Amino acid sequence: MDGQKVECPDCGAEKEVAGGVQQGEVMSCACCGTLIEVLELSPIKVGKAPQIEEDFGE
Amino acid sequence: MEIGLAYTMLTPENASIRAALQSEGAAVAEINDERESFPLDGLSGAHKGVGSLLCRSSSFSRSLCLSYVFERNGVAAINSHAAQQVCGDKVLCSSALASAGIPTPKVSMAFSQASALQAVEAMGYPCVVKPPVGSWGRMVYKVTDRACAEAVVGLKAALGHYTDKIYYVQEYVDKPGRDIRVLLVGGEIALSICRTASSPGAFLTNLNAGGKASEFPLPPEMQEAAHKVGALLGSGIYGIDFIEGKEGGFYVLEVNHAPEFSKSAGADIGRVARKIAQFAIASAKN
Repeated sequence: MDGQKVECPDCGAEKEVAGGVQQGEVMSCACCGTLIEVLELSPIKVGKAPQIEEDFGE
Repeated sequence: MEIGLAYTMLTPENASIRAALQSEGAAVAEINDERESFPLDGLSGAHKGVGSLLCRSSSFSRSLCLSYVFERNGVAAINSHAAQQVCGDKVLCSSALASAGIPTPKVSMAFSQASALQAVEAMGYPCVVKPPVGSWGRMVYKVTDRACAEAVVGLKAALGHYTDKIYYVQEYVDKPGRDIRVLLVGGEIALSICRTASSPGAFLTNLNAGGKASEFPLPPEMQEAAHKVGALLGSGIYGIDFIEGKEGGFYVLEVNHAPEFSKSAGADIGRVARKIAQFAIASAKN
């Protein structure tokens, strides 16, 4: 899959998604920092990923 | 062979583990803890064939629930529910390390503002106040004097969660601007790196807080301590954090039960993921 453009579901900033992205992959918006999740690949659809909660970590 | 891979998000680590499991010939049952629900009177049909469950949830509480339920249904959870409970709670972890004779900084716990301030004063300045549950260096404070202690303890008292009222007061170790992360997989040291603070004098070395990772050849005494941690918690996958004292010696600071490794492993991410996949397959019960 070639790179495609998506909109941040929070701030609307445009983001380029690299080719080879996988369904479920998460990335952050360079503009507002919201975590974005790839929901579907074809056509590409993104949504807000689970936002960090207080017991998130490693 | 079917391996469960529980996660909140498909992070780079989780994507690499999924790929490694598949290349090792395992079927992967992806379990998204954000989207799925889970019956408590047995596993759902989609999870009945799972032989081991890699607990890779971002959330400690979700991971505790999932590991318990899967273990009760005969599935090997990695890490075990018992090990996760200890690793995910700094009070339990520090107590377990100290009682096993593994060098770890001194810690006191307190449950009220007044007793927390007493614990801080007794520990001496500087000391460190941390939440018992948490990660990535969040709300970890170096407390340098009485005014700072009153501010930190007051802030925690004003917060809403009950764990904020458990005051974990730790001895400050004047580390040489770095700490060491060891990844132990099934009793084998899969990775050892040192993490350097993002700027001179910075307190936190967490990679999420801007720390930088580089390879670190692990000295034999730290290898021995890492294996002791593994023996203490049971065979599993652990991110063990060491700090060195400026005067020599070292301490195990904490143990992480779902360690991240994409930033620390760098180009080695595939090799580490393969070790994790092989361990999960070897641990599977059916």
